[in-house]
Amino acid sequence: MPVLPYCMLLRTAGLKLPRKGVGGRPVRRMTEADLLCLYSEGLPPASAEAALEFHRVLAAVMKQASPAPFRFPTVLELEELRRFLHLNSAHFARQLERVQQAVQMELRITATGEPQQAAASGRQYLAARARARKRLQSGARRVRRALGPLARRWRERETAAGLRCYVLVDREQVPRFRERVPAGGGLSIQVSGPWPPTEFLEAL
Amino acid sequence: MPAKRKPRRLPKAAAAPPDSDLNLLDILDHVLNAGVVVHGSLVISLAGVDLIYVGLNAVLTSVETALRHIEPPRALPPGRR
Repeated sequence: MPVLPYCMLLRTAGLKLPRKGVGGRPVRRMTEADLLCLYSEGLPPASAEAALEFHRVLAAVMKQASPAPFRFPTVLELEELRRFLHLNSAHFARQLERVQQAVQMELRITATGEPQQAAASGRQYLAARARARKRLQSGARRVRRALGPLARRWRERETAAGLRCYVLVDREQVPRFRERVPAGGGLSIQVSGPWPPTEFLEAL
Repeated sequence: MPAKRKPRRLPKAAAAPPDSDLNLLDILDHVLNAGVVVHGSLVISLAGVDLIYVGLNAVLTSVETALRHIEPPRALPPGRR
C-alpha cells in the first residue's frame, strides 16, 4: 500500500497531532524506538494544493515539536517506510534531540540602493560582484552580532539574488528574534519562518 | 541646554506575518526542496496485474497522469503464447 510520509519526530507524551492530511486523508502514526512517524495512505496528487496541505500538517506539528520532514512528495510502500524507520531511527532520534524545541528562521539578504552599472570589462564585473558579496557578508555578520545567543546555530548560502541565512532559534524566542533582526545599511533583510530545522539535520 | 539624544535604534527588518500568511512560493520551496529524501519503489497494479515498477527519487507527475500516457499491453492473437 503506498503511503505519503510527512515527518519524523521524537515520541513525546501529550502531543496533539493533526487528524487530517493531504486530500483529507487521516494522518496515521508509526513508531520505532524513540521515533514517531506521521503518514497518510494513498497517492497524493502532484498539485500546489496538496503541497500546501502537506505544509499545514508540518506547521501543526511544529507548534509543539521539531520535526524532520520528508520531502514532498515522497511515496513509499508501507513496508518500505517501516524498514526505513527501523534502520535509521537511532540516527534521526539523535538529530532531533539536538534541535529539540527549536525552529529554523531564515533571512534573505539582498543589496539595495546601488544602481547596476554595466561593467566595461570582465575584471570590473568580477570586482563588482566581489564588492557586493562582501557587503552581503558584512550585513550577515552584523545581523548575527545583533542576534547574539538567540541564534543557536547559523548557516549561510549564496544565491543568485543575495545571501540566504538559516538560523536555529528556540521556539519561544521567535518573537524576540524578529524584533532583533536589524535592517538598513543599504541591505534588504527579509525574515521568514518558522520552518522545520532541515538545515541543521545531518543526512544519512 | 541641548536636549538629550535618545539612543539610536536600528530599524527592524521586514518580518514575515503569522504562519497563515507565509509566502506561497516559500512554502512550496520548502516542502519540495527541503527534507529527508528516501529512494523508494512503487509497483502499480491495475486489474490485479503488476504493470509498472517505478524507482522513485522524486515524483515529477501524479501517477494518474503518468498512467494516462502509458499504452495498455497488446493482447496476443489467439493461438500464440
